[in-house]
Amino acid sequence: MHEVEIDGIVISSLYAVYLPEHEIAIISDLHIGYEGVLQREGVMMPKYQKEILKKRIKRIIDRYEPSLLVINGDFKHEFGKNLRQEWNEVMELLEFIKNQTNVVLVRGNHDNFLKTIASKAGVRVVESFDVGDIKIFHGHKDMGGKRRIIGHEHPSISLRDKVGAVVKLPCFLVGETIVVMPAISPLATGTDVTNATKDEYLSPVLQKEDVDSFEIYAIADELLYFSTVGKLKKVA
Amino acid sequence: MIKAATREYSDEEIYAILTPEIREWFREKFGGFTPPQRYAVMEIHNGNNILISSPTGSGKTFAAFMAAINELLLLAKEGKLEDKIYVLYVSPLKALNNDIEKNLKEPLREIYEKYKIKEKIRIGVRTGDTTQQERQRQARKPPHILITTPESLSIILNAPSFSKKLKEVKWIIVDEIHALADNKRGLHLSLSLERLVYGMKKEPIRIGLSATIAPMKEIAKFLVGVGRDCKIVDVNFLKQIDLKVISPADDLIYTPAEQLSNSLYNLLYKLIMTHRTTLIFTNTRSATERVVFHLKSRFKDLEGKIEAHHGSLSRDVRLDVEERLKKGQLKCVVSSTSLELGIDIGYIDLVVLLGSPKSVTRALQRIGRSGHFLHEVSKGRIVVLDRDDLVECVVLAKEALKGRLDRITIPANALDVLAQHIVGMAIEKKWKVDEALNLIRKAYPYRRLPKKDFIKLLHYLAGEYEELEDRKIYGKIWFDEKDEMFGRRGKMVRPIYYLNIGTIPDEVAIKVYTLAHKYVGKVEEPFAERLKKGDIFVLAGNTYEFIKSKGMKIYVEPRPDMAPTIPSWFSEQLPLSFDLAMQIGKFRRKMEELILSGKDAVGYIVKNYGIDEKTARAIYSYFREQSYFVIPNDRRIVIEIFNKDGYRHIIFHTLVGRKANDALSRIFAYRLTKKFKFNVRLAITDNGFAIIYPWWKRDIDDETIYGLFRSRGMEEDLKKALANTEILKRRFRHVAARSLMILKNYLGHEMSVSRQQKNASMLFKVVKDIDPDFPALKETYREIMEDSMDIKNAKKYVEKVEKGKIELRIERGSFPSPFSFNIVAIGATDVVLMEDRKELIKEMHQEVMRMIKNA
Repeated sequence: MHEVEIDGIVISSLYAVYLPEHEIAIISDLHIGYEGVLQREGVMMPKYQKEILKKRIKRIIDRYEPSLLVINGDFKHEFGKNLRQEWNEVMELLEFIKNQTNVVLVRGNHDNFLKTIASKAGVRVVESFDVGDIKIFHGHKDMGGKRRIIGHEHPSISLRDKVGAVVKLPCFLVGETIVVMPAISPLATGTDVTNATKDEYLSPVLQKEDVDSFEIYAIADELLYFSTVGKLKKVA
Repeated sequence: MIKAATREYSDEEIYAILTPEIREWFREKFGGFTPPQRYAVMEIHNGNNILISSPTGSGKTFAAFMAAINELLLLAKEGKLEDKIYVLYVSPLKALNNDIEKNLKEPLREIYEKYKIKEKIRIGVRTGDTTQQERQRQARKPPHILITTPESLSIILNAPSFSKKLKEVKWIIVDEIHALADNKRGLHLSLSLERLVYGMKKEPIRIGLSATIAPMKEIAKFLVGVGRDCKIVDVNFLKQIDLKVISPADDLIYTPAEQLSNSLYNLLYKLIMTHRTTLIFTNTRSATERVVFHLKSRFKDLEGKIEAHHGSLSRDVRLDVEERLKKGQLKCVVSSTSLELGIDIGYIDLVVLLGSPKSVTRALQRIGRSGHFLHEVSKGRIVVLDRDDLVECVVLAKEALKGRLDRITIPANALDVLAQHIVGMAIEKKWKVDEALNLIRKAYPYRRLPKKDFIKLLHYLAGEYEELEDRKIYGKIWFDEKDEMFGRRGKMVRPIYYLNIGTIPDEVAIKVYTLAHKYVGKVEEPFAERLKKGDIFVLAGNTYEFIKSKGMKIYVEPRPDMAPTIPSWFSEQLPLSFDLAMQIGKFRRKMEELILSGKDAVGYIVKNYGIDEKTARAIYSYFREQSYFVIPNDRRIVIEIFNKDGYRHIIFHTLVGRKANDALSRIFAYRLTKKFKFNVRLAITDNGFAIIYPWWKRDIDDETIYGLFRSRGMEEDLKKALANTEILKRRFRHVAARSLMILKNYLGHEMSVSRQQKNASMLFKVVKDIDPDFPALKETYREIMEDSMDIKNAKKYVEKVEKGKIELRIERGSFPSPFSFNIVAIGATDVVLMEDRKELIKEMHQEVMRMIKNA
């Protein structure tokens, strides 16, 4: 396990951001129910995420013992009306977290029905969450803020060896005033920053930033520093 | 019992069993019968299964159909033709199906007219292209002779009313069986046939038609299934072959590349102009494009008379080329493998093979396309481009002239194909496990299917890798393990089956666009995967520079004046057959013997291999040079170690063909990286492979190298070596789609290939964790290790070393021996990663940071 602190913000190889001064842990992009969507598309994807998410969340809570866990959007993936399984999973996970710490849900773009879930579980839903001058929001809409922590992008890098074997790693992108979090969901694929051009970024926030100057911290059991996006793009 | 048909019946004997109409018509039209007809017609008439292998133009079609048509005509005359299918004809090619329809309809029409026969024998074609109208017509009035493809057959088997009309079929004809027996389409067909004949009171007569192939007995067993007899007719020896190996230059090593190129194209031009129509075979699509490009640009009078034909071209383009070829409007067609199969392409008087065709059988099949009639000589010329090619082709030519074919392997127990059929069977009715297993095991490739694999597959299809609650969503069948029964589940299964069966993976064509978003054409995925910035390649006759790739698209800039730079062939290169590799190894040993004993090697080659002295001398000098080092042969593996360009090279001269070397090299590299903990690169060819790593990493001692030749654990090590590779991920996608784990067509949605790959990658990650023995995973490994690579022969080879039948000789030197040149020059074709993903990532990280610092 490995952490890096930058200006009071700790990024962790456990897929979380931690604000030690306020004892607040942040995770993002769980996409619970993704398997169901794939099944409806014709892919025999078994229910896989729940146990892994539980493990990952437990590790974060054990390590940091936060007084609050902020879920920075896309807690659930799209789902339609009658999917009892997915509702059950969502509730189960919320109960799991609630039993260990306080939790607040930040709305993401996939979070339809979130209000219903939240009220059933007795959990607050917000559009963004402010901690001092840090604004935590999902990132599918630009909400301003001096220093920002967003999700949505699911950044990753792909390392290609000289003759083609590829390894993909989720990563944090750290800019001067912004931290882009990786998805904690094991299934969510995202933006490969080694290959993307500006217009390919999902978040409008990043459209306005000099992403090439962002530093990359990849997650592979520990945090691996890969210099900046611009420099990595050149050699990859 | 499988045995040769030994009785060649006389014309009179055959005429005696025919109806007077057919007899007269045939006698008028053809006079007498051809050899395959003389062997086969009576056998079929007597109800025997038969496999007929004979050259193009030898009357195979009539040999197959005669007995059936005879009986049908008899029924037609008596007005007794019923509304059912009597003859089922299956061919892998849609185009061939249309040809056959013409070749049957015409003669029948003539007979009806001449003899005023009122009732007609109905002939119908059923493929993916058959219109709805036509299908309905066929359902109402089923054709007496049904012509179809393997895929369409499996769909018909599940058509509720139409399948009933098949249940009394009397003759089954499988054409181009050589193109089916060694791949999954053939396996799919073999199961369809068993399903078809299951429960029939009288099993139909099976007739197989094949081009030249070996081993015939296996193909016969494949045709008829387990426990059934079959006779074999092999008259390929009757076609005369005029085959020569030629080289564009006397000196293949020192002649500068440009001059060699010039000589080559001049040679080709001369051949084209001195023959009516020439068919040139290359080994890869890119070579096809290149050759047409160069011939057109150098020889303006070929403009409009020379075309390329390969699978990447659109269907319309291909059909156009085929038409013009048939009409004699083209002087030359250049093809890779697309024109190997039997479509009628008109008159060809010369076949040129550019570079080694890599197997005796393929050489004969290709050359057999020239000289359309049995009495005409098949003329072929093999043009070699380097010294290894030269040796290979000279040995190949001799084997070809002796009719010593290399053997194909029929894949066994492919679980993905089986999955489709289980679903199809479940749709038909409920089954007891043993009942179904017995049926499946009658199909030759599945004769040894382990029951536990079958049960596991049933579990998976029933959705059981999942907790109880979710079964409804996935399960395509229900499976009751206690009562050992299974059947279909839900209403969606039928449409899912119809829309998703088939073995051919979605053509993963990577679309090529210019930066201005103009569409250029398609390239194959394995080719696109290896492109680097700056590479220049040819597509649709023009040159382009690779700029970037994104998902299933790549972007390029036209570079009309630049020469292509990328050796794109290695992703498609045909592998040298194992049998031929063994023969070349023997030849090397003979050459060594002659050289060491001072005898006249050149004379020996001229006398025994039928080539001219100049060519023989070129071969001799090659061996002479190598003899200053050590000559590897079929009883000696030479392992060379030297440093070059900052890298240590370990060259294994294992002449076993690329497929076996693919397996062997990965296993050895894996064993080394496991021991020493650093990544290595691999270069793999037919004649051997190289393991390459930076010189400053540790040296590898003799002891370690000897220790690599350990047969125990080879399969496990190969599996581990495959983890994280592109080939594993890509093949998993194919297998997952075939196993119906990913539905390309579901509820009206078509899943794009890029989406399929994304989904497949996710599934792969998940399945790997949940159950490493998962059927689709297991089949992916099997397909790669047995079909694409050749783990079995690799293992046998290593066992020979262990038994002392093959010696190992390690030579440490300062530069490569001549036989190493090709292996070293190929550059790294692959990388073998350390097993430990953690370590791998660490290494890559260090590399990248090093590069960034230096940038």
